Amino acid sequence: MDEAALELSRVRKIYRGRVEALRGISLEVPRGMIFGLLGPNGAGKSTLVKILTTIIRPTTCEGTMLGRPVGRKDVLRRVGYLPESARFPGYLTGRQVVDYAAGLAGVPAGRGRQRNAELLDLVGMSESRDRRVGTYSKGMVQRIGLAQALVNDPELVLLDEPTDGVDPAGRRDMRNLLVKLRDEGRTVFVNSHLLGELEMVCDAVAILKEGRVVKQGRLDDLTAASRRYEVEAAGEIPAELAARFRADGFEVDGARVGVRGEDPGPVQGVIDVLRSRRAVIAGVHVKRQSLEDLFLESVGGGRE
Amino acid sequence: MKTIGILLLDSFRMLRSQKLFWLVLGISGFVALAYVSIGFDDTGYSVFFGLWRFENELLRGGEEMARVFYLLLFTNWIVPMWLSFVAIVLALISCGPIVPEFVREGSIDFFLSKPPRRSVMFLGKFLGSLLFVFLQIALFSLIVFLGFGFRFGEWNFTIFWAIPVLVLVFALVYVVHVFVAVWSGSTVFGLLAAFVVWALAAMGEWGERIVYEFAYLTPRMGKQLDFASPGGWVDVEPREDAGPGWVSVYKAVNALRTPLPKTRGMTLQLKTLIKVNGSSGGGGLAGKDTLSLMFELPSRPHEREAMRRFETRHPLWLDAVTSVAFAGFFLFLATVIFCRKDY
Repeated sequence: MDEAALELSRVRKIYRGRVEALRGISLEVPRGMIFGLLGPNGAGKSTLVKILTTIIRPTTCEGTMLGRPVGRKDVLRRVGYLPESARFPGYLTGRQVVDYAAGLAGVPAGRGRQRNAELLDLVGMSESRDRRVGTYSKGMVQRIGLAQALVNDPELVLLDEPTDGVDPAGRRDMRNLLVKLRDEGRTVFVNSHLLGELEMVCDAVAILKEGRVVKQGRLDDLTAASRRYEVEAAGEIPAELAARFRADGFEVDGARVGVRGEDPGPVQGVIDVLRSRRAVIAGVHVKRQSLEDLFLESVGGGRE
Repeated sequence: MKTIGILLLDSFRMLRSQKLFWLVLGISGFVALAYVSIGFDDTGYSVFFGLWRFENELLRGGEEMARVFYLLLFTNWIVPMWLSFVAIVLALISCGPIVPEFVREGSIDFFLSKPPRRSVMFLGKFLGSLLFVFLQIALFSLIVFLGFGFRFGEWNFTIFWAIPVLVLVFALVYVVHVFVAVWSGSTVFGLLAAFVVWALAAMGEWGERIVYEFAYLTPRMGKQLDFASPGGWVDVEPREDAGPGWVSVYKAVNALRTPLPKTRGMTLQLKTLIKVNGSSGGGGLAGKDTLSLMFELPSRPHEREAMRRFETRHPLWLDAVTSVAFAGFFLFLATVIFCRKDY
């Protein structure tokens, strides 16, 4: 059980027409974390997830998913998947969709019924469970999609744009659910465009650009270099003091003095100097690069 | 097998949600009811449970001919007109979107990300599509079976041959649609292809039949085309065939027909499969199939023999094997495309 949830190397996919969607992806996702896969449109995020779920066949692929070679059908019993823009048969009710998924995933009938009730409650669809999917809003379809993805009690949950079409309250519920899944020991692999959403829950990310991983690692590690402290004074910092701070290598912007690095020691000196000039300290803030900044930096300021 | 069962249950749920399914089932029920409403008494027969009565010497209670007529009505009218044509057209329209919807992005992801093999998923969906026709024909056959049983006290289980034969006939056309739909993802394109192949198959069968009539049937019956005579035909000495020219043409046409699906041929084969049971004393008719009963109609022995050879020129096994091979070939191709495709 110590192996990574996902260990991939040399994942390539060349579509007909010689379009190279993935150009040798290598990726490692440890167990028990929320992992975000980011990238601009066409970077190959969905292609990668579809390869993992056997929907697309890779041109080359080495590695394992939950300890089994990628592409093996049997491992999918331990995997849950919510496709992007999921479509479920409109004639089924929400409860029947989850039942259907349970049956196809090989969940025993009794266990399936039990899980069905639990999950519909978990995703907030208990009241609408006997309505046909055809009458659901997009957000409701996503919730049912999430319930069906979890019906087989998966060790690895793959979510492709899970908050697509979901309202703000639903997104908050989704975030809480992802955290709950991680706390239960599951690995959650999320594809999303919503960087703010991911930033709040992800432990690690990988950024794809043109079919290649350009950055990957724990979010804390990736943003460590950009960590800084900001000392905020109650008023504008006098010019000669600002010049002195700049000369010492600090950044000054109006009432703020920026101190780069993880070491809080230099901050004390800045506070001492400001206090000696009777300046009022309004606050001290720890700042780091946002995921959006990291993303834009990685993909060259391109579009998300 | 569990996966197939789950997919069949899903297909049943889909059918239940379709208005067209209930409409066709309702019309089938009405046609079946109209069929069983035909009754016989001492003076003749009646329809709609005695609403209209007709006097007839042959078609009246106790006459063997009445029983034969009742069965022929099923095999010669209801099966070719309703069950193997109109009901199948409606079933094709109704089942047309199943495969294109199945392979649509967002939907196919749900299925393929589950553990069962692609081929099992695909075949399960295909079998589920056949449920539409299966349920229609099963209901119809059951009503006819019960009607025949209560009417004549004869429980004729050969009536149920209609179920596998007509499901096969539907499958022969539907499989073309499935092949094109899985390749193109288009319902319209798939249905168009299915109707074209169905029409080609029908033309092949009609063409073969017409050429056979000229090459073999009319010479064996002792008839010859003569535009100068009032009826267009004159009686001549019976011959085995019309000569090497016609025989060669027939062989060529028949060779073209052989690989095509036998939608009409299989429907006609029902006449040899559905027999007069005779369990309640069928007399001279006991054990005879409805096709044999028709051979009783021509008066001269050589004409009857010519008719028999004409109607039995294609053995059941050959039509069945070539038709199943056709369906199997296209289903195999469709399965291969489905299994190898990226979605």
